Amino acid sequence: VVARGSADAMDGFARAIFARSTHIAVGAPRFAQVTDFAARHVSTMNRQLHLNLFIHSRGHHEASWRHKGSSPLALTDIRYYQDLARRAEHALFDSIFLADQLALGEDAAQAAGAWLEPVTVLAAAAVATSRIGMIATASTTYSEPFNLARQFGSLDHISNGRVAWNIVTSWLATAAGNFGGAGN
Amino acid sequence: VEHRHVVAGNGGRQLRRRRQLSHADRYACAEEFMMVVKALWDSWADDAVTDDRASGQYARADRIRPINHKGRCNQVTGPLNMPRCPQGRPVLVQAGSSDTGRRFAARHAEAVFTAHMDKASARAFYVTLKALAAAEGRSPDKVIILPGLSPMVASTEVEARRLARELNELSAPEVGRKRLSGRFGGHDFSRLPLDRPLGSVEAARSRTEVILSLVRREKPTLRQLLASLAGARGHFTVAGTPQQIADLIEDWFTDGGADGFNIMPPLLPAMLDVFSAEVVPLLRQRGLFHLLCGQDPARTLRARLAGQRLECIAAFASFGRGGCRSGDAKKLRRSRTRQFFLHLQLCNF
Repeated sequence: VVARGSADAMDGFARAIFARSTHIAVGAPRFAQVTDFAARHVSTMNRQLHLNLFIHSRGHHEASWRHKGSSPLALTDIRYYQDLARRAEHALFDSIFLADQLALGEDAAQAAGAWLEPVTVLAAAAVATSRIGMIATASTTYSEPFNLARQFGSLDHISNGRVAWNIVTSWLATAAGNFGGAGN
Repeated sequence: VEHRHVVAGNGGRQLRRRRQLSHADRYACAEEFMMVVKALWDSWADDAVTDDRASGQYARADRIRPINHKGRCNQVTGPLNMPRCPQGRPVLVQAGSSDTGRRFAARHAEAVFTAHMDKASARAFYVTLKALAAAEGRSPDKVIILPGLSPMVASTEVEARRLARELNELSAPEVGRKRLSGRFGGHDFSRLPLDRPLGSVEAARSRTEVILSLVRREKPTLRQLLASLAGARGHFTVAGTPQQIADLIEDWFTDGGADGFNIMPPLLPAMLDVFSAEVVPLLRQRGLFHLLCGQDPARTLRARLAGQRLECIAAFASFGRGGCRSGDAKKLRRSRTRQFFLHLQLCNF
């Protein structure tokens, strides 16, 4: 609550500075150069690049899992995810992201495409970090709103306000077979 | 990010009923789902919990309310059985590239993941989504667009390419063929020779446009096509020096193609480490990434996505007052922009 309140206050503060610098630029020639500089550069500086780390298998290349340069840890070892979260946090990334699938891929025998459930992983990553954001995929198709609101709400409490939900409104046909359907 | 093919609706017992719905109705259900989830997150007021041991009051009943939702797709009484979370509502992210997906993102998402193999298509997506957000009455800069980027970074371009080739040679062609077939509505690619340039390919879905335009543009062999998809499943892959990667990021960022990137290292943790150690400092030097504010204090993800500017402006306010150290003269470049950036670093905001 306090954090939200002060952010709002700062928003007002920022707007005030903006308004003032524009005003001074008009009214006081001596200051005009400096504030002109502000007007030109604050807009570019304002716009800061956002970086998210998408964690997938031992890397996004489909053969990464068997390359000698990738992590020696098992993909079911929580330390692998916690370690990546810490590295990304150290590099000042805004967030980490875990995608999801609700069915085993057809290529499971030759691809490292089986993984831990994202919300659970992020709960463990949250307690291993303190600043970085964390994004998990969950489906509106195969969740009840009450369960989903509760899971992500809990994750937000556990991480102290660092959580995002990647909304997937639809899913692979194969997943339907795991939820009482015949697959589409 | 690649699994959005079939249905939109809901889960559990209600799922079976909803499966009978038409396509348009399923999206209406997704909208209803969002409404319910948001209402549940809002069902506890910020000050509902008093946790007062002396009086015996844990929470104020009048600050917790049921939602009593009775819709076509969901019936939820509420309230949530949990106090309001620190962000109020968790940040909402979406990865939608279909028409419906874009409209959904424009209505709800605060950040969007997207896949583009060239800047032109990234720019087109960027412009469209920002316009859709504005049409929904939202501020376009409250929707952050993050294209996927899978960078293979090495000290020379030759070495980066060698690494990429090394990984491609570890890929099993059958795996790539199966995956490609999935994207093209089950089309059988098994008879297609690996090493002859591809002619025309017919696709079933808009999502495959990315691949089609690549085939038209570069006329690869099947082996080459599979290699370029093996990198990051249709996201933008690039192999080069830190300088080249930083140039590319700066170009997309300043030319209206991205607000940032969804970094997809081809090899973990190695390529994340190289990116962080070699590319990130270049981005900072150029004033594109956290130049300003030194150490980032703990705060919510939403504040982080929206609020970095605040510290920058606060830092700006002290610029020119002669505060902080004046800096190492050798480090100072001539341009005022550089001086200002350096000022920020020295002042350690």
